[in-house]
Amino acid sequence: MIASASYTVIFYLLAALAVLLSLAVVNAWKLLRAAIALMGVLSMSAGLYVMLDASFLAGVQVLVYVGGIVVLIVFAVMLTRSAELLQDNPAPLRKILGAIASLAFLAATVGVFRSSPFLLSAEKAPLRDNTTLIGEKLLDYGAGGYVLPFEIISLLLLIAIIGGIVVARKTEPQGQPFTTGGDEAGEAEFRPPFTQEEHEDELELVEK
Amino acid sequence: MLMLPEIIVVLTAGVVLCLDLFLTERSRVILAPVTLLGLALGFAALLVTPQTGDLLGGRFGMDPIAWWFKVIFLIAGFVTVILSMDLLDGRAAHRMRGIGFRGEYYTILLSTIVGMMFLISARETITLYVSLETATIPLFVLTAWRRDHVQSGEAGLKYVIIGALASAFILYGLSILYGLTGQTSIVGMSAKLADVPRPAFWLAAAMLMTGVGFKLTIVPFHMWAADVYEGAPAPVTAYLSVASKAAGLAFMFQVFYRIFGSELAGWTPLIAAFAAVTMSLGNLVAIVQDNIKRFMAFSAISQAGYLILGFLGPADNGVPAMLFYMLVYILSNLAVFACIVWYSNETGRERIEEYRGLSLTNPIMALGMMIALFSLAGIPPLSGFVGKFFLFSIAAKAGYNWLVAVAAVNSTISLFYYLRIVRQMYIEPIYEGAGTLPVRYTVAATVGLLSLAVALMGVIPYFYETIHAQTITWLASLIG
Amino acid sequence: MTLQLIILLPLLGGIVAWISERRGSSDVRWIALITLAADFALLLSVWAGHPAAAGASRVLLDENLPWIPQLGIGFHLSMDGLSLLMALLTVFLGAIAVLVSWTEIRERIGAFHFHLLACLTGILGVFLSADLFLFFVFYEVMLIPMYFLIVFWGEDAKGRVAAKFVMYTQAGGLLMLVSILGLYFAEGSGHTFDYNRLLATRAGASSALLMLGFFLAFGVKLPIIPLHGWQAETYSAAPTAGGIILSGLMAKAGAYGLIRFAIPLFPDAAHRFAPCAMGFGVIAILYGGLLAFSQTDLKRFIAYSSISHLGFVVLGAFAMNATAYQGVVMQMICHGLSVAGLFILAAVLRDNAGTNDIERLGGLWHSAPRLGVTGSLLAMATLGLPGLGNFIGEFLILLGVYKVSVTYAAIGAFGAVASTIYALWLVQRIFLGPRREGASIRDISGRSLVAAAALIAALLWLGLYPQPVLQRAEPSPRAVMGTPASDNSFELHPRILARALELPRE
Repeated sequence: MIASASYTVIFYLLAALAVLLSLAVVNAWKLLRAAIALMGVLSMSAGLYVMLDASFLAGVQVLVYVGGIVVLIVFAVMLTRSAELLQDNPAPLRKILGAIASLAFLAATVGVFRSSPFLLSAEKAPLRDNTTLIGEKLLDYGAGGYVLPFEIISLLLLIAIIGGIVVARKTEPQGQPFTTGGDEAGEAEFRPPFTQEEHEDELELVEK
Repeated sequence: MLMLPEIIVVLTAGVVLCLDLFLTERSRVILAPVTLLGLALGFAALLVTPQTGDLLGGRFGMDPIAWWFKVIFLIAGFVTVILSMDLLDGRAAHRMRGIGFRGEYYTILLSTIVGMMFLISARETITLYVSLETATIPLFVLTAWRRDHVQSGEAGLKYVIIGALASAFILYGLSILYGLTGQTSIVGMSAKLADVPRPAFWLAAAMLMTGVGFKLTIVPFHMWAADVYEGAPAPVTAYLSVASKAAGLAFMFQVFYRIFGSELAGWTPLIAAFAAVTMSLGNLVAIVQDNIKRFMAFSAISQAGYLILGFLGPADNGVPAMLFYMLVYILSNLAVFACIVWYSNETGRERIEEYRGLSLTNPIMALGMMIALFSLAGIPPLSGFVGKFFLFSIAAKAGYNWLVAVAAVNSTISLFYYLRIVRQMYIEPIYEGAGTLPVRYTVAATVGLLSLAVALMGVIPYFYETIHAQTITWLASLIG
Repeated sequence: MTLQLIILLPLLGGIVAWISERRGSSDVRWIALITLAADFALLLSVWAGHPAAAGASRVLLDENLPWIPQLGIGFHLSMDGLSLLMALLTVFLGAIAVLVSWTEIRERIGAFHFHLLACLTGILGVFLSADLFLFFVFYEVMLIPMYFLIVFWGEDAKGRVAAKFVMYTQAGGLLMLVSILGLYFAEGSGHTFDYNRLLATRAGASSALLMLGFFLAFGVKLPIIPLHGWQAETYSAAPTAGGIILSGLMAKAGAYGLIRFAIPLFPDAAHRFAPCAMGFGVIAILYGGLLAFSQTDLKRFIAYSSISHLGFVVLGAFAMNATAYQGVVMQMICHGLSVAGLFILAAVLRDNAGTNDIERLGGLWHSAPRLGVTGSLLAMATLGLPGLGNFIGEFLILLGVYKVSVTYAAIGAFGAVASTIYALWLVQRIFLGPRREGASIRDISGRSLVAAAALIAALLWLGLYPQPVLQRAEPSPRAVMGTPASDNSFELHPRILARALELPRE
């Protein structure tokens, strides 16, 4: 009885904290504060995972998100000193509409969840060997296995890394006369084809 | 070896990435041919693999519909590589900064193709979601590829945010479904769906619809399309406008026909409303566009409106009609984009009125573009008309005569704005001193073949008949 | 195979002509002409091989290939007397169009002839289709080549005008598509696009709307009065050959659609709609005539007088009896011929006198007597002088309408009088009257003269001996909806003809 009550109390505590911290993430004026609040949100969800006996997931959550990603964000913020967020004041109407939409969505979701019974698994998930089970499932190529999404995710991660590097890599200096968009007045005009010398020069530039 | 095409494409991505390490900038031109070869091999593998069967304990399935979708994805990828070649290896690349990194570019492009191919073969929701992400996330990077260009970066950022939002909706919907049924496999989910409490089911369905609406650019989830299409490098825009839309349709097929099954029946008024709004808004906004990429974005939005007419009817008519239309649409749109990419590479011009005189300088390209535009407008006997006709007839059969009338009015409007481009190419005076622009033979052959296919597929009933026959067997397998 | 060949021959000829452009311009023109001559010969052989026989099946040739069987779409071509007549008219006017563009078109000759012949292919397809899907395809196929004919070889604000023309026609065409689909899914249609099987379908409550879709589509092509916004500009911007095709053939495709599709497919709805449609007809007759009066540009004059004359076609088609039906067919053919002649006249005047402005012309008879005679004869044909084909057409229509409604017949007759006035006024202004400065012009000669003479000869033949054509044009029973068989077997009795010839004309 007491165990069950404390379970409920802890759940609501974690949940309420997660919601409050999420609001803090969105509303923080300084990037660093937002990052710290994000760390809190992620830790709270790790706590929820623990309560669900998903200890592996909780561990991953703390290791990867809290320990990895948010720490990286904090590093980036501190190293680049771009801690101030741009002040963005959306029109009041937009704010009101946004609030109405969010509240309506919340109401709909809560209403739905209260009215429809979810299919809770009859037997509790096995308490021990959670990690082993996940590992086996991920590499199982039989009927109940998840080896395919596991492999696809590895491809996705590789591509995300490559893409991140390419996008973040330092660009050549600006000031080239020609772009395909013609986003400035004079640029869209037709230019005669480049001479051979210029062509060679550019090739060298590219190779450097 | 059911997964052979996917494996070949993944291997090609790896080969391209590794080759890139060992090549000098000058010799990196061979990367595109390698990519093309990989895709061609994948296509050949697709031709020899059996069209039905499954792998990995039923987690990966192959069926005739998936086969056709894979054909669509591979064709789209192949043409996109040819177009990218014109941008990345051509003269334009030396004029523009920040368009390099060819090895990475092709690797990323190949991986999104693979993602799409897995998407249509997925048989459980986790694979489904993961492949959807694999198909989408690389596109964010490709959109932001032109780093000399602030619009490209902006487009990439917009696409990331909207894409994440769409993914969140889809993920939310799928997890509700999992919560309700306790199944991740699509078959299991579908079997238990009848007992699921309705409000929660509607919520999940609405979430999935919203997410897929973003992918297919259904109004009101279309607002990202114009900016992203305009900012992305032109070959990427081409790919976005065809493959991303085909992937959206593939996802919709998975959700509607495999998961929801017969639950679909009551939704037709909603779909009809979405279709009407989408085609009308896309058309009306397209009229006032000036930039040809933005223009094609809105044209693509209205085409999506026609496309979902196919969901109004029973699957045995709707599926072949939508699949045929998708095939026709990607061929026509790619032909148009081939001309856009080539013209923009050669001259840097992207505004509609800057196409004037193209019929005099490059008559073949202008002709190909015109045929493709007329196909998009639905002029008989081009295939675009036949495809539209099938879709209209489904709406008419389902009793939505008002919708057919709306679609017909929209077709007329669309003819008006497609004619704008034709008029520029054929009537308006040529630029002073403009000569014939050089065309790579690869691009010329692409435009020629695509427009020929567009013209012939309307007259030769083989494709539709095949798709139709295969759909029947596919549906039988779904039920059985 | 014959019907497919008849349709495809012009297209093939067009492709050959385009390819052979390099070899010289006269080769291209000869290839086009020879193609059309061969097609004409083919049609004549059909005519000769299938004598007009009363009763029984009037279908002369019928060829049905499967196309998309899943949807009940077939490549079904069929030819009866009406189709044969219209096909002959098409090829004949096509050849005339090639002749008149012999000197007029000097740029991109190969492409010009390709588009011209492709357009003819579309028109022939329209006249020979017996499958609604196929019909729609051909109906649209003729559109794009015509667009290019106007855009490339036209005059003035051709781009805008051509787009307007395409938009109008396409809007009408798509309305028809909606109607076709509606009919296809109507109860008991058996899900087919086949014309003969659809004839047995009753669309029920929605048939009025469906018929309206067809009516509006064909109304744009004719055009009838509120839908004529594209016409005058397009006629004056189009090259001469384009004008001949537009007014002589495409407008006839609209008329043909009315009597072949709109009325027989929805007989009940058509019957209810008839008073209204005939109202549209007389409005076109009167208002078109009124507008023709006030024109100073010859091509615009042709446009509005066409509206007036095709008003008779609408009037006659919805009278729905055999007399009027035959009159409609006659009027379609004769108007096609005479309007082509008027376009030739306009082209010659523009080339030789430098203008089409009626105000600036005058007294040309002295310097150009052959042109004067040609122009006067064509004007006479237009006003419906007995002895020329148009008279038979208008007379039969009025006779048929008289059986149904005296009022409409009277108003129609009044329109005929009006046409007499404006046609004579035209002759008077151009050829008679005071001579303007520089009024001595080169006379009509060469190919234009041959073409005009051929047209006038055909009109005279139709006016003096219309029997063969009228026999061919005997309506199939369904075409005039359920009228008793005795009424169908109407023949132009010599006595009636004689009385008609005596009828005083103002």
